[in-house]
Amino acid sequence: MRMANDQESAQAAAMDCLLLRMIRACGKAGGGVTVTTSQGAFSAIFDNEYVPQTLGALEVESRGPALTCRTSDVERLGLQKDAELTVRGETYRVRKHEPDGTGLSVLLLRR
Amino acid sequence: MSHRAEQIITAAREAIAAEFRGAVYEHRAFSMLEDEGELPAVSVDYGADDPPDDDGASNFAFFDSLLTVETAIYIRGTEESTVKKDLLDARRAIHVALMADRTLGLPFVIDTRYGGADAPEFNTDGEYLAGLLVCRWLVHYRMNISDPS
Repeated sequence: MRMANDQESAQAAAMDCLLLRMIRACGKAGGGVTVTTSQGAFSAIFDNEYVPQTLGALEVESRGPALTCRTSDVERLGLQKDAELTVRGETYRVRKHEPDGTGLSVLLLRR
Repeated sequence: MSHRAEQIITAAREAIAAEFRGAVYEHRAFSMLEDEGELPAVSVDYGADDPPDDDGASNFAFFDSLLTVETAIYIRGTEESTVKKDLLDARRAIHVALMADRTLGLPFVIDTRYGGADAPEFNTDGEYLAGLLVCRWLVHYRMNISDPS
């Protein structure tokens, strides 16, 4: 039983390592950032695509800043809603945490 | 000469532009750029335009009508409380602007009345929180039976 648990833990750690490599490799292609928080730093991919905000009949053109990172980093740093973080010198707050269940998370940000 | 409803909207827009600190538009269904000074904004548009009573308040020479002027306020910010406050500040500015001269400077306008406001609406999908508040004003005016201009 203990051996099985150890094996699962090792597999999870290896997977986490792989995700970090993947994030860094994708980041080199564009969007890679080091995010700093009061609890520490982590690697992520930053994107800031166009997001329409509908209000009544009108659309306000806006941006939807988001970070793709390891879920383990989010948990390790205790990042919750409204947590402050710095990306490329700009301060954002966490609007929503969307873990995908495979070890990756998307953090939707706001000002 | 344009229809009197259009002249009323133009006069209301000009009065609001003198009081409101943001952009004032005459239309609603379009998009606004957040980074090009288009927010905060108020759009001033016309709504329903009905006779003030079932009989139509008319005689051989004129019709009376009650035009709904819709003012939609758009604000963005980082905190909901600030956006709410800014929406109400803008609502106050519109109120002051339209009540300063209840004829709106037009000889055919009899009165401008308060028409209430909707509950504020918010959208949190983007980088900033965006808020909308629609307020209504009822403008009682008179037009010639044969030509509404």
